[in-house]
Amino acid sequence: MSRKQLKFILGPSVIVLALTWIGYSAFQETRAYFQTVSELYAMADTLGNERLKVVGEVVPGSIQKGAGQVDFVISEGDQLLTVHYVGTDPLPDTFRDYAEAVVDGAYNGNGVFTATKLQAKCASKYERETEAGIVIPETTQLVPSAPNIGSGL
Amino acid sequence: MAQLGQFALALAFTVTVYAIAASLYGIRIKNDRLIASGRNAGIGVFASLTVAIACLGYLFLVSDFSIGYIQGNSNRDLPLFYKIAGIWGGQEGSLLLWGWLLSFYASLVFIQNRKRHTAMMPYVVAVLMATSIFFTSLNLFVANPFNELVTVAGDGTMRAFTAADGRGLNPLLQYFMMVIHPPILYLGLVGFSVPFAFAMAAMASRQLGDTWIRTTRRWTMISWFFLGTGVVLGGAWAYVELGWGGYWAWDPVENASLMPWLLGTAFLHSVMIQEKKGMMKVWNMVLVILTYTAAIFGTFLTRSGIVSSVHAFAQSSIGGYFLAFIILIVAGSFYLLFGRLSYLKTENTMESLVSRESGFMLNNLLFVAACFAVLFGTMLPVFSEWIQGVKVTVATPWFNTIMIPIGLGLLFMTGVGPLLAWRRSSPSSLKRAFLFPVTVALMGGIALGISGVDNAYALISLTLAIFVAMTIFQEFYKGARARRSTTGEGLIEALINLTLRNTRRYGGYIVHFGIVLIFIGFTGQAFTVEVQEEVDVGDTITIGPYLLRADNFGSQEMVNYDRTWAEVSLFKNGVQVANMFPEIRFYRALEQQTHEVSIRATLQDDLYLVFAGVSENNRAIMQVYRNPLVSWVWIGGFVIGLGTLIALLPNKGPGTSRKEKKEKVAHQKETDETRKTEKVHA
Repeated sequence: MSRKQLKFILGPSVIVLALTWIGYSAFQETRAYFQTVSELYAMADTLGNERLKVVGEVVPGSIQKGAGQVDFVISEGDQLLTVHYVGTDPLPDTFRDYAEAVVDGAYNGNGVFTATKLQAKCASKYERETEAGIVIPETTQLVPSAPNIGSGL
Repeated sequence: MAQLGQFALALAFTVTVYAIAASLYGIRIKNDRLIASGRNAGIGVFASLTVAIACLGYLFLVSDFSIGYIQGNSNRDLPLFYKIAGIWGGQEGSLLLWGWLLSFYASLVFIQNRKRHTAMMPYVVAVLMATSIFFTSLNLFVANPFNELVTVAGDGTMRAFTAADGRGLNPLLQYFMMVIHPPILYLGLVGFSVPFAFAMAAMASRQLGDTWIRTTRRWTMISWFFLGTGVVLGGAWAYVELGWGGYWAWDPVENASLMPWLLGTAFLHSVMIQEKKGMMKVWNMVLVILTYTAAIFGTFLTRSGIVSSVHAFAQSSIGGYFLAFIILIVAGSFYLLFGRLSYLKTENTMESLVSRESGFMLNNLLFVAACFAVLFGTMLPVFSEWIQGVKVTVATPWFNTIMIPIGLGLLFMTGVGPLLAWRRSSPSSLKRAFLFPVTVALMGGIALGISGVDNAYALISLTLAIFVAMTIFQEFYKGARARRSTTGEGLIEALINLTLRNTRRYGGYIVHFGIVLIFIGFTGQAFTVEVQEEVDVGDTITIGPYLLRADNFGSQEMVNYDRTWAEVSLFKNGVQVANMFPEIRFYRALEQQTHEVSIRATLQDDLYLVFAGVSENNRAIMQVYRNPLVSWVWIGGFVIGLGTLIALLPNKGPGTSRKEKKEKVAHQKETDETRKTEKVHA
């Protein structure tokens, strides 16, 4: 490689290395483990004050709204985790009984978790149970209407 | 009607297969009539899919709840407008929309090029139809929007079942911008299939000049325009509808549309070097392949739910099909590329680090790095689970740490790149080009620093914004001045004619100016303030120069939902400036609650008010944000759109009338001026 071409390799390399370094050091500072409730308990002894995200289903009836704090319980099967939400963001619209909640914060030990962020997704189970008055049996499924092609136009 | 739709889908599938076979076999036996028939079949696919999507629309309009997709995405009380939006409210319909738009673009391409590029076109038809067949088969075999709802009895017999009402459209989608957002975004994502198809066709037919680039230049720009508009609309929707005070959260679905945009932008720039200097031919192939792959991957991310997201409305089994298709695209196109490397030799080499070429190179490096960073951050949970068995995630702070420097680097290049000369820039030409913008930017930066902007990134960003804006003004001014001195036109007239005669260059500058405005908007985020307070009637909240007073509360039953609203008076420096009505909605069909925020936007800042809920002691919880400069993001988006449209206009050619002759001379002088500048630069 000629010396003239060398600078076109060196210049971009410096930029790529610098960006990699920024990305890597920021990664070390901001990464969080993403776990289910049982995975959290399995790892609980090895955890320090690390940032964690834990996902679980909101136990129906457990949501208690207080001043500047919301308490609720998330579950995975029979494993329960009590969550104190102390974040400043308003609660997401999708946060309700049976929702799949992702709490972001730290584990305090003894089954209690302090969260500063909260995300929630509607659980399909919930939709199945209420259906706004439409009773569709659990076994409801969709099948192709293809066999009737041309019959009901 | 569902049967007709089903039939149209099946027909489209069959015709697509024929179009591919006829095109490829037609090339082989060199039969022009067969090739033409393959192309016409491609147009037939569009007709078929149009019938299919029209049937789906009809089923929504008549609320046919015997069809699963309609029952899942609509309900009787849903307003007409949203019933239409229901077509793309779920996975099945979104895929149909994708396929339909693709067939629409493909038909336009086929008609436009029916007499041109005879060697390439059969391959173009084959590639576009191969993409089409992927979406049509998903619709037909995996995610069929025309499937009927049935019940299964205990003994396993199935009976058709018509629900009394639908489950309703996701309330978060019941918003004007969200109705137009998916089609616009898809017009962008789908559109990159066209340059990709031409690139593959160019390689397959060994027509590796820059014909494929010139032919698809407008297609690339149109796709880029729609994709960018889609991304901005997505942000606007998040801002107005999600109620957390911001417009971008580095959410997987947002990232899904950003990645192809970043790569598409890189592609849009690097093709200019190939057109001008015959360089970077392999790289452009790689970029167009990656952009198209990112577009498919973006659709996959949105629809597969592989990474959980607040937007992920779909979680399903179609992921595997997408993955297989993506692997097929990458493997196939890179295999073709390796076979054609000898045709893609560069005609020039880099000479100087300070040149337009290396400016483009740096631009590409930063765009690709940005895309890689976004990809890494988005897919980290998936990859880390594969590799380590533990899901590791990064969130907004990580994205901001890496993306802000890259963004600022790109902003800097926006100003520098266009002023660098091809081959090399001499010190004296650099001084000529940059003395004015650098001086103004430094003075502006110092003034901002003194006036209290103490955030380093914000200060750099605003200084760069001034710098770039000045380079753009300087370009327009120099060009207009040269025109004026020869034609005697007024400055405004000269500016307009200048732009119309070189739409690509000056349209590009307008796009760059839009980018500057967007960065000004981004910078405002550094100064966002928020407060949360519980209030009763008569209570007040203070935030910056604003004072909010809760005046009234009430609730009301609407057709589709129940609303609880607050009436809040907004005062700025003691003067009442607005009445705000934030509300909480409860959508009955889905039993889901949403917050309708109230925003008072000015060029200076947005006052963003969320009625967050009701506390234990029956007081209203109000979340208030003061977001400086947000409006500039939307204005910038608009300016970018405008600039893109100008760049798409054909150049106004010099005519023959006396006045126009005079203009011709002026144009000549203008070009000379440009050349002179470039010479001096060299």
